[in-house]
Amino acid sequence: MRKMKLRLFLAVALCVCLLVTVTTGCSEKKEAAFPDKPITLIVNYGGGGGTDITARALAKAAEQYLGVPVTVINKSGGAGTAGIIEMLNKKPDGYTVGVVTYAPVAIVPHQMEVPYTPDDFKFILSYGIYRYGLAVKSDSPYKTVEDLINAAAKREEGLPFAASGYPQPFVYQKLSEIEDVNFTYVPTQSGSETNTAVLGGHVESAVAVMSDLMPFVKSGEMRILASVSSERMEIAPDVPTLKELGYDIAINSYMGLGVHKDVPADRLQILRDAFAKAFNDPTFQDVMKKTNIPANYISGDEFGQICVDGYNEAAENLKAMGLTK
Amino acid sequence: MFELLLNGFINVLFTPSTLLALIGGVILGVILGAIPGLTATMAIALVVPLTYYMDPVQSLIMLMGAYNGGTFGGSMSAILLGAPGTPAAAATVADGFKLALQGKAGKAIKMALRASVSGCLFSCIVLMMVAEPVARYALKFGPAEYTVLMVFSLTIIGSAAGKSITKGMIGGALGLLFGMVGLDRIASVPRFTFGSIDLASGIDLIVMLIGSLALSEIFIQVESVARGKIDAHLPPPSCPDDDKLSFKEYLSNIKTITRSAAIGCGIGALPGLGPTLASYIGYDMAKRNSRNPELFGKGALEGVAAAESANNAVCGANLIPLLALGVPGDTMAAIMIGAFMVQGLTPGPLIFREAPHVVAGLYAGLILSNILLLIFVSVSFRMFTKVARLETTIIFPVVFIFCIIGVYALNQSITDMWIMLFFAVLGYVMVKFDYSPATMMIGFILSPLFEVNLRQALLISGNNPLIFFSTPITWLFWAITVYSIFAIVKSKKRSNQLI
Repeated sequence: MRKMKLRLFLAVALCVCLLVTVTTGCSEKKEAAFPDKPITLIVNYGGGGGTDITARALAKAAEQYLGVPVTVINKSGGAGTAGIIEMLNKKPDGYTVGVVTYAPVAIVPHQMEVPYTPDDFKFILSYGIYRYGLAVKSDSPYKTVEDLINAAAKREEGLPFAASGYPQPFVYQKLSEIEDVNFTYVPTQSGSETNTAVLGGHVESAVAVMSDLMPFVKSGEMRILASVSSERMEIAPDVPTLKELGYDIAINSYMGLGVHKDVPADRLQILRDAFAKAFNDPTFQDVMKKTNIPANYISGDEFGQICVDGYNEAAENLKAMGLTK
Repeated sequence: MFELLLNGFINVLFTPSTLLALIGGVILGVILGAIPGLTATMAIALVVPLTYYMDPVQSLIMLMGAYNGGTFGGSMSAILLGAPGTPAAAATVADGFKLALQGKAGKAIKMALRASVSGCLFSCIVLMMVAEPVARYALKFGPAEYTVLMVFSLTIIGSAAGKSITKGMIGGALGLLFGMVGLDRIASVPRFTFGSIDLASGIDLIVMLIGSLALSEIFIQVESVARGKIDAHLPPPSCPDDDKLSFKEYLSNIKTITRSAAIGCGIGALPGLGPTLASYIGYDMAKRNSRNPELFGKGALEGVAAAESANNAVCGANLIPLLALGVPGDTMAAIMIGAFMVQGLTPGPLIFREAPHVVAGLYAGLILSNILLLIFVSVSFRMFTKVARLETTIIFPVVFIFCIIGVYALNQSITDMWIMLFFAVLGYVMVKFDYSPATMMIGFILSPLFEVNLRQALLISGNNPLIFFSTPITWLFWAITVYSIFAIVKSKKRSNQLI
């Protein structure tokens, strides 16, 4: 009797299963709205740095506009290229987005073999801009850029300056071309090492990201001689730009998001809209303010153009310095 | 200052969520640190996203707890498995594991624990009293001074080399070479990468460590098991005394612990050097100054104390350049800068004025993390030793898997796993031919520091080598180097084993 019941139960259960399968599943799959599953954001630097913190904040803010979670993973290495290559290697379906910073796209490809050029991307937006300043120690005898150039003119083997990678040294490269003096580039491994080199008096000057320099400017241990970005800086409005001082030199660097160029246009548009909204989200703006990185919206297409221009310009600069691969 | 610190303590102890954050940080640190492949850096990276939603004191002390716990945790697996859980514990293996094989695992862990806590507390005191002047002095170390310091550091290979100095030098040179793989740190040109993008970022210290010291050790132990030498991984204690550490034993090592703590403080205050180098130098100095140097490497409690006190002293000392100058001393401190920034604080000379309560809370948290570490490990060490006494057929596969997971989790890179395997085989072969993988490890740690500073110094001086003799600090380190080489040659001559 008991066995009978079990058999009956099994039979009914199987029928229900059949019915459910027939009526729902097996018709042709409908085109689902994008996105219908989590999006992965690959950050091309390690956890905890300025790029990582701001990218995570942007991803968090974008979730509410995309309607799906945005999972952030870090893939550092290869001077910022490894994360970008990882993104390009994923299926171009719009579900993998990469943090694409300026230097690994515009400059590094001239120095090492990478499987991409700026044309391999479609950009979503640029959300942050690095401003650079030319700094000396506050008890340094150099009060102006002119003082620094005069000192370099007297030192034939070159006046040492510190910077933590390109595009920063291009400033001195151009200064020395214009004024026919010598500067020696002493590369450091990070912005804070640059600070140490200046504070310890081991180099005469440095070009570094303003957000790294500001604490020491505020405490009176460093002096900014010039802004080397295209405009004066909000955080140090009294400091003149190199352009105002008569040198046609400006470097800028950007943080942005990009995808593989084969991502369908409609999906790209959805991503662009969502991240543009996320950019204006107060929580994201708050994080940018705290990290001292100027929030600055540039549309995907414009950012792409900036990268292409920068790529061509870097080729010339590096060739002049004899540093191309 | 005192009042502020007291407030800091009250704040941490009587805010349940803050205390919980600290406890969580310490426990997570110990456990991740103890598993080979998962490191203190990873514990911190895991904690960082959580800290975005906490107040500054909470988040920072959680990070400090994970840092301190993780740095200690690495020594647990170094002692119990012979495979260091973190790079900082690499110097602990030599004596810690030998003690464990004698059944004295409990004793060794307790020694490591007391030494770690003592070292960290020592550096806390230095941090609180003289952070500012120490950091100012550390600034005098420029590329030239670092270069000479690296020359001296190379001589510690002498004591890690075992019997033959020549073999030690070969190991060290191999390490120096492996350290040069990747983008040239001065000219950004790829070296030894064979066109591989994955190699362009160089070989990761953790991957190298897990391969050459942890996984290769597992290979060696598996081999001896296969030959039927041992069944259970570790023998049980032969007498109850083996699980205990008497106060007398602690006191007899107090000189070693203090010396190592001071070394750890010095290394921690100099940005860029890190706990691994500190523990090797601490171990080296202890061996040279010991009354029974022949016991080192055969299960000397003194060796465990020396290495562990030095590496945990770096935890507190690391905050000296971080707080006073805004310069992070190692990767973990760099992650902490990010955590400060999320809270709208910028570490640096202004933080003592802008957020004194945060600094006080951080000090209190660091001190309390030691006490919590002491309590947590004293309660739980039996559990860890019990696990280590399981059969080898259970332990080795589990450790093997953890090594693979840990290395993969580091950069999500399959190539890293191959590199780990390469170093595991290399480490195994080295041991078989009586070379010490530790010498390779030391060379590898020193390589980037040595090269970058040497080349920076020459750039600054316009290729004039006199820069390496230009300041009193350089002379001091030249003198120590000469003395160190002299001492090695003398001791080896005595034992007639120079080649």
